[in-house]
Amino acid sequence: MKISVFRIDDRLIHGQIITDWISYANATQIIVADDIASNDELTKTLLKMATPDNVKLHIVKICEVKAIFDNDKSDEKVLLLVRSPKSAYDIIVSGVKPDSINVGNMNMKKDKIKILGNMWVFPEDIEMFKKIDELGIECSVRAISNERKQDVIKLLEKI
Amino acid sequence: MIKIILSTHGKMAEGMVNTMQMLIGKEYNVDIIPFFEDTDAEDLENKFKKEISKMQTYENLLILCDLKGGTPFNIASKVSFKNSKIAVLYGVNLPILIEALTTYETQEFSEYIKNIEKNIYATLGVSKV
Repeated sequence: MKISVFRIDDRLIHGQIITDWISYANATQIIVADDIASNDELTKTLLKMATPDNVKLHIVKICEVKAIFDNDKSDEKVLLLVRSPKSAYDIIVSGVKPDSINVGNMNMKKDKIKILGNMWVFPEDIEMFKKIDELGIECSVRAISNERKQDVIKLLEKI
Repeated sequence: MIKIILSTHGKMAEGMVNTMQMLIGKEYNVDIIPFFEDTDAEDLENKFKKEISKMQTYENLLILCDLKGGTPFNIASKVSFKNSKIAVLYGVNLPILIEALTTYETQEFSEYIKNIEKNIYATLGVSKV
């Protein structure tokens, strides 16, 4: 399998994924890489419920992502979803390297800094985005695929 | 008693209520829980939980959502998980909203849900003319 879209989105599977990103990615499979979700039966059931019937869903721990790609050398396209820049960085460091990363929704929470209406970051998120950038992987914000890409590093320079 | 909530992305819920009232009258109403681009998912979850906490022991709840896998559907499914007093429908359209609002008084909850599920398919099609 090959990564078609690697997305950071703290809502994981939701409307924009169902109606836009699965078809944009031409994905037959979704990998949700999340240590909390992979250990929680309710979250797993809800993610399965949200996934279209013709898409195969894997819910795995961050450390298990590399093995999935190692064990499947097919050309099947995958939409890889993580909740945070930290998870994305950990996956990259484990040896799974995307060309670029799409940033979707990072919800407002206490102590977060506003970057865009749908992008709020903790200081540690900023550090992670910088580390991903240092590895030569471009991160850009697009809630849906036909929006204009906004470079994350340039957005972070403005704060 | 059956209570109905309509929960959609954007202004669809508000628009559906407006159109529904144009067709069957202003005496019909339904509570809406809309989800906008800047709505926090936790806020949405709290709104559902508040509605559920208001339910009386004899009451049932039907939540009508727009899209399977969308945030309103995901959160409605989460807050009603394994609760047989609540049903969550996805793919709501105007005829099914009207059916839900006009038939709930005469039926028992499980039968009501079964009928709605059955009838939603009859509301869809392509004109053969």
